[in-house]
Amino acid sequence: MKKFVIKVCVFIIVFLSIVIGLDYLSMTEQYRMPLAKLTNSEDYISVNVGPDEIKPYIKKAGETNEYTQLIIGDSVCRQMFDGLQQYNSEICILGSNGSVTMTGQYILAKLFIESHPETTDIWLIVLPTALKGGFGLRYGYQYAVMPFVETDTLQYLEQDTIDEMADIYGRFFLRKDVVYAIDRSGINRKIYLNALSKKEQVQGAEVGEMSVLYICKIMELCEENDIRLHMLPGPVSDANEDSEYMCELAKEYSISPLMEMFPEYLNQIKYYPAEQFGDGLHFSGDYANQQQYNKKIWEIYGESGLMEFLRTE
Amino acid sequence: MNFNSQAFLLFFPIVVLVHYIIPQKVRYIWLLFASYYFYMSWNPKYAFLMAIVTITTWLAGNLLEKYRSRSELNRKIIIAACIVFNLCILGVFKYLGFVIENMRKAAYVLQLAFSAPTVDIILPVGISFYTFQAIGYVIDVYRGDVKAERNVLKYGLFISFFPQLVAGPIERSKNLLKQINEENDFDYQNARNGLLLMMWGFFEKIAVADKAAVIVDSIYSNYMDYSGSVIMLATVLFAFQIYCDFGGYSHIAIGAAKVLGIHLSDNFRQPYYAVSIKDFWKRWHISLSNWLRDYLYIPLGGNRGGKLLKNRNLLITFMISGLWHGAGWNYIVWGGLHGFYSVMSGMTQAIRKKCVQILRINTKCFSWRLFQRSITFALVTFAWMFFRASGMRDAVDMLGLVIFRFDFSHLFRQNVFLLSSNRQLTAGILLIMMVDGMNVRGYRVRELLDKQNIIFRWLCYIALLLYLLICVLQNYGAPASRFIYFQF
Repeated sequence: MKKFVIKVCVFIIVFLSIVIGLDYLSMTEQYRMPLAKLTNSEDYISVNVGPDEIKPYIKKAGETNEYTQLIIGDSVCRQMFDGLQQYNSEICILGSNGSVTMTGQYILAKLFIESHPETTDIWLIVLPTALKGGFGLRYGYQYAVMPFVETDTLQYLEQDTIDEMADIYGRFFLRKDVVYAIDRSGINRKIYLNALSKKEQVQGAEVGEMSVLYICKIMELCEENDIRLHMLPGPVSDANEDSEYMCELAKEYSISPLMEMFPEYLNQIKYYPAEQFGDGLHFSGDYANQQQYNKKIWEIYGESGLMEFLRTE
Repeated sequence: MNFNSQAFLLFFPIVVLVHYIIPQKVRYIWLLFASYYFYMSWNPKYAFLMAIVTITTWLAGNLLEKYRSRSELNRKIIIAACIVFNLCILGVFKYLGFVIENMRKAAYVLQLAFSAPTVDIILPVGISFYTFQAIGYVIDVYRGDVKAERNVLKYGLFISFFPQLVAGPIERSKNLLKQINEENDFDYQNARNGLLLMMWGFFEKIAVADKAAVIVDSIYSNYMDYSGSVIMLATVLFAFQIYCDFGGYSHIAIGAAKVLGIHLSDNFRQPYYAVSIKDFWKRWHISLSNWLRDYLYIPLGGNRGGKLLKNRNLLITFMISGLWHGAGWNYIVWGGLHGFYSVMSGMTQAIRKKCVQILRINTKCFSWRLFQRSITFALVTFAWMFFRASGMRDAVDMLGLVIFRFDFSHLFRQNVFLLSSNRQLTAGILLIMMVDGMNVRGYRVRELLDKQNIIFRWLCYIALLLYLLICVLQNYGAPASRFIYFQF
């Protein structure tokens, strides 16, 4: 028995060494894609998702230039405003993704303010769903943890928030070398994200504590630097207009500190026919072009003051 | 717990280590505990059902032993009551819904009033396997082939032994119960061969069966979108899927038991190299074929009583085999088809022999064997269509498509060959057929490997494991596929 156990152990060690070696190769530029293809995990690294999508925004927010205003927000904000950057030399447009949560918006705002002392206004444009906050299992890691860790911006967050991330994703997976291993290798990302997705997470319609905390922190930053903060809603499908979710959210919002800070937020929501939305959130088909976006931008934000600065052509 | 789950990778080494560390006397208790844990990790409630089957058959066995030389009538009452009781349990959990559904349909056709609640019972995993094993034991005790087991825990282990609990092989008390009562020391060769057999079983399941399942499932679930030729291709793939799925399970089960020092019966012997349907059933699911032969076909009269009775017995046995597999008309038809093949084979035997003589065919040459194997494979595969279909209606529809819409060009046009896993799947099937072919000719791959040096052997093992790992990673994130025979 002893001989058998020793042989099995040696075999396992040899086999694991080879597996670790292959895993290392899957992180190198030369073998990254071939190994990802071999294991059907190329989708995890071939498209511009997760950290590769968010890191450029973090980089852009920290660059020094002439911008005096900042637009931050979720993917709907990005869809509508991204095409307008070329017409606006004073407004930095950084609509990113809802999965970065308010912590990501805070990091972008903080970096921008630090590198742009002349900032006058920050426009936070998010869908009501962004207010529920919390880190999602699958996207939260890719869109929040990975880019924050890789750009060393995780330190800007409260220790409680980092602890919450550690509870959800595991403290080991907040380490820079581990995040790098998951980012570089399609195999590692596939294994880890699938393992994450097996965990259960229930999210209700409540206005999340974390969202409130980081909106307040953005507000504090703005007040310290004499900047005006505006929070505006994104366009919403009329399928949600009288939904239970929106009613519950409105109730929650009315008793949250946000009501005092942005009392008009919910009233400013504009609903559009459901057929204009491909996935219920983003415009699609004939409604997904800058001309249509500009029309809607005027309709929704015409009275908010944003259009006094924003050029649409 | 599935063999192909992460939990089993932890469970099995612990069971083996503890098994060999603890004293011989208590090993069966440990294995019994492990087996119930294995079963209860699927559904704890149904372990009670297995316990009921265990206790009733154990009691019946001991009562039959007690009355052996006293009262034959009592013995008959006991065995009849025991078999009826256990078949009733199987009937309620497996066939009640089917019976009620058919009664409802019959009442509708006959325009009779019939109301019965809809039955929605979860089928306990492995119920058909352990019920048959338990009934087989009681019949063996009744016949005096074995002595009744006095120790209920040892008998409990015989019924619940985890490697073969949920999908066989259906063990005989003469083999398994005997080994449970014997002392067994750790044997290096056994353990090594067991692990290699398990590895081969995993290869069959993960590298072939699961990959074939992706194609088969997509075609069978939308069969109206395909032509007959594509359905035929899917059915051929299903033939390999079910072989590698069930054969894989059996290899893992036999290998796992071997590591624990217990030799289970063979369940497969290169079935697709069979030269006739009779030969096929000597090679496919051998433990069930033997069970049905010994406890059903022979008691029905077997070959005795003339050709007519023999054919009747064959048809009944095969149809019950079909019903054993699943509560559905398609399973009964599948069994009936095999019965029909067997009957026809017997009826045409003389004519076929005469033809061979007239045409002076050398029956030992390769081409004749290949011809026989191809015909057998085609017949078996045709029957698989009924087995795999979701119901009798689907099976008939598919048969219609095969006959009336057989467009060969569709095979290429509908991208079946372009599915990414196809090359790997084809290679996997070829490898398995090659290994089976070598076994048929008497070359054992394991023995050939044994003759090589350790570096070459380990390189082969590592290559196979790495390939398995790649297959697992390719499918990672998708729900783990269950073994087909778990549902029976």
